[in-house]
Amino acid sequence: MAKTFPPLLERQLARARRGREDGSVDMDRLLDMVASAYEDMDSERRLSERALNLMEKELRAVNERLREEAEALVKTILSNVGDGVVIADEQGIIESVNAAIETTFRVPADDMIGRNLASLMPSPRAGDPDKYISDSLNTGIPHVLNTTIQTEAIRSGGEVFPIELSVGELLRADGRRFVGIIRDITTRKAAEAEILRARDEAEAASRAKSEFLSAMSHELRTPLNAVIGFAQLLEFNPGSPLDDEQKMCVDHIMGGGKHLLDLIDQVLDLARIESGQLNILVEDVAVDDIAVQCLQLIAPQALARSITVANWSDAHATVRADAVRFKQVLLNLLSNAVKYNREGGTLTLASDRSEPGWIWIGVTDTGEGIPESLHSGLFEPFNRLGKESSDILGAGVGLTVTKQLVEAMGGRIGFDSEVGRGSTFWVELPEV
Amino acid sequence: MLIRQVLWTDEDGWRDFGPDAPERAADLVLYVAAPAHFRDPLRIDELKARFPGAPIAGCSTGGEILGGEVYENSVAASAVWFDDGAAVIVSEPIDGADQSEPVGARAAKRLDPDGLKGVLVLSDGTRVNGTGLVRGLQGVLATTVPIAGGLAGDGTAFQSTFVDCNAGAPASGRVALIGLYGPGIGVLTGSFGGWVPFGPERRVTRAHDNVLEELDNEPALDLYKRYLGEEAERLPASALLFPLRLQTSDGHSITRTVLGVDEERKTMTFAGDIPKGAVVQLMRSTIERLIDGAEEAAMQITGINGPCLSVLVSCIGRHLVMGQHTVEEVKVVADHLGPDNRQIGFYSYGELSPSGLQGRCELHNQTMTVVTVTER
Repeated sequence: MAKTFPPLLERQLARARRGREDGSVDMDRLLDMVASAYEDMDSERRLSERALNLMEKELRAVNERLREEAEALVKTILSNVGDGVVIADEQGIIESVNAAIETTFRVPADDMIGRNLASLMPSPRAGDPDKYISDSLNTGIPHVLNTTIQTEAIRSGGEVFPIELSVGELLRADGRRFVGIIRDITTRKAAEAEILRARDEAEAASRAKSEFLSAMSHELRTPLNAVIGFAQLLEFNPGSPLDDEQKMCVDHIMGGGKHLLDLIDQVLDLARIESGQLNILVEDVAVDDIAVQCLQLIAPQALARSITVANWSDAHATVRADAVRFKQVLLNLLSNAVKYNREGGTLTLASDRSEPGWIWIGVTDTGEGIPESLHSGLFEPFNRLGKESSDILGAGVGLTVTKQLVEAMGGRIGFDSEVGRGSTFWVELPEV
Repeated sequence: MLIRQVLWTDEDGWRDFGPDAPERAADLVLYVAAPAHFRDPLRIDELKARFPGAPIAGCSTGGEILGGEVYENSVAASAVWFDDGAAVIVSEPIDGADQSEPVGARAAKRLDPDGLKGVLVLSDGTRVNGTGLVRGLQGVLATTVPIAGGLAGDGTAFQSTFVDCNAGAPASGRVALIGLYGPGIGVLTGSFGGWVPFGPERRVTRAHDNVLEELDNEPALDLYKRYLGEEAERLPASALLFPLRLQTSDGHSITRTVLGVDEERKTMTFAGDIPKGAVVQLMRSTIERLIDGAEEAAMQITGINGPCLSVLVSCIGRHLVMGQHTVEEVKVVADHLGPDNRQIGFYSYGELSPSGLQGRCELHNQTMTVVTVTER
C-alpha cells in the first residue's frame, strides 16, 4: 500500500512529478521545495514568537494603564464627592477615608486611619458597626449592607448629628472590605423640620379661612335673607297693596338683594375652590337633561331683553361631570350670553363631538364681541373687561368660577369671539 | 477563437507557440515585456511588425508569464482571432495619482457600452492610485461588465512603468482599456492571495489617501518595524513580504502592499488608499500558502470549455517571496485551467478584479488574479 504523507508533502511530491512522463519524483526539485518550506516555517515561527512576545508586552502595558486610569478615576471621584467614604476591614478598622470624611467629622484623615468604626458613632450606637459586620460575616445576610439607613454619628468635639449610611461589600484578593458612604443630613433634617412647620402653619391658616368663610356665609346671608324676605312680604301683602312708586322701590330692594346673594354665593364658591374645599362628585350626566333645564331657567331673562333662544337640538350624549356644577356652569355662560347680548339678539346653546371622547357644549350670543386685547384677562377674577361703569350687573367672578369648576370636573373651557358679531363660550367634557 | 503566442528571450530569440496564424490581422495582440524593452524598443517593434493591422496593447512588468512559465527580461505576447468578436483599445494619459479617478472615467467613456462584455485594464504602475482609477471606471461602466487587469511593473525598482496601446510609442503615465465585444465573448475572473494575518489588529488613527501615518496613535512605521524585527533591516524591500490586511467598516477585507517608507516622517505609502478608522493587521505568507492561493484563484473560475486566453496578473510581492519557486503558482493555475488554455500575464504593482460575492471591481495587492476570455 502506498504510503501517505502530510498534505503539504503530497502536494510537493505531485509538483516534483510534474512533467516527468514515467511518474518518477525529481528528487532535487523535491528537496529544494522541502528545504524552502523548512526555511519558511522557521521564519514564520520567529515572526510568530516575536509577535507573541510583543503582544504580551503590549497587553501588560494596556493592563497597567487601565489600572492606573481606574485608580485615578476612583481617586478623583472620592476626593470630589460630597459624601464621606470610609473603607474598613473585617474587624471594622478604618483603612482609608476620603476628603469629605475629614470635613464631616472634623478629623484629619491620618487620625482616622487605624481607628475602629465605633469611634464615629455616639456611645449608644458605638456597637452598631461591629454588629453589622459580624451579622454579615456570620449569617451572610446583609443588615446595613446594600441599603441606606438613617442613624447618628459624632463629630470631633462631641456633636451628634444625623447621617444617612449605606455600606457596600468589596471582595479583594487579600480579604473582604466594607465601604461605608456617609452623608451628613443635618441641613436636610433642618429643612424638613422647617417644611413641616410651614405645612402646619398653612393648614392652620386654611382652617381659619374655612371658618371665616363659614361665618361670613352665615353672617351675610342671614341679614340679606331678612331683607329679601321682608321685601317679598311687602310686595305680596294683600291687606295693604303697594302703590306704583312703593312697588318700584320694593323691586329695587329685591333685585339688589338677589344680586348681592348671587354675588356672595360666587365669591364663596371661588374661596372654596381656592382653598381646595370644593367637593366635586363626578358621575354620568345626560347633557340633554341639563341643557333643557338651563334653557328653561334662562328663558325669563332672555324674554326680558327680547332675546330669541334657539331650540336645543338633542345631543344624545352622556358626560362625566358633577350635575349640580355642570348646571351652574351652563347657567353662568347662558346668563352672560343674555347680559352681554344686544337687545333683541339671539342666543344658541349647542353641542358637538369635537374629538373622540369629548363633548363640546357652546353658548353663542350676538353681542358686541370681545376685542382681542382683552382676551388674556377674561378668566381672571374681578376683571369686568371695561364694563365696570356699564349698567350690566356683575362682579367679574362668574367666568373665573366657571373655569375652575370645569377644570375641577376634568373638562376644558374656552371661547371664540368676533367684534361686532358676538362670542361663543364653550366647555368640553369627557364623554362616557 | 484562436490563440497564437510568441516569446522573445535572450537565450532563444523569438519562438512561436500554438496554431498557425490565419491570413487576416489578429483581433487583439496583448503583450508583456521587461521594462528594459520599453527603454530600447527593438523587440517590441519586431513584435508589432509580426502582427500588422492588429489592435495591440502591452505593459512593462516585474516578470513575464507565458504558457505556464515565468520569464525575466523577455517579451511575451498572445495574438487572438475571435470567430465573431472584436477588441477596442482606448487610452488616456495620466500625470499624477490625484487624477486617477477622472482619468478612469474619461477612458471608460471612450468605450461603446453597447455589447461590451468585459474590460481589461493595463495601467501605469507608479503614477496611478489604483483605488481612484477603479472608482472612475466603475462610475461609467455598467455593473454587469467585468473589469480586471493590473498595474504595470518595473521589476523591483518602482521607478517608471510603461503602457503601450496601438498608436505611438509605449509611454509612462498612461492607462489603457481593452474593451471586448462579441456575441459569444465571455469574461470570468478569480482572485486570491494566500496571506495570513499575524499580530494584533490596529486601528488607523491618522492617514491621508494612500499614506499611513499612525496606528493606534503611534507612528505607523515604528509599529511595523517593531513587529518585523530583523526583517525590518531590509526595508523597504522586505515591506513587500509583509503587507497589511485592511478591514473596512462594511466588514470585508483586502490586502495592501507597502510601496515605500518615509524614515523621517515615520509614514508608509501603500499601493491603495488606507482609510482612517479602518482596522489593519500585519500579514505574512509562505511559498506554499501563496501557491495554494493561486490555485484558489483559478478554482474560482469554473465551466470553461474550449480555447481560452487567460491573463494572469500576480503581485511583484509574491514573486519576491517565492523567488525561484514563482513558476509553481503559474503552473497550478495552468493545470487547473486545462490544456485548451493559453496563459499570458505579468508580475504587477497592483491587481484589479472583482472581489468576493459583491462582484465590484477593486484594487488588490499581493494576489494572483486570473482573467479568462472565451468565445462560444
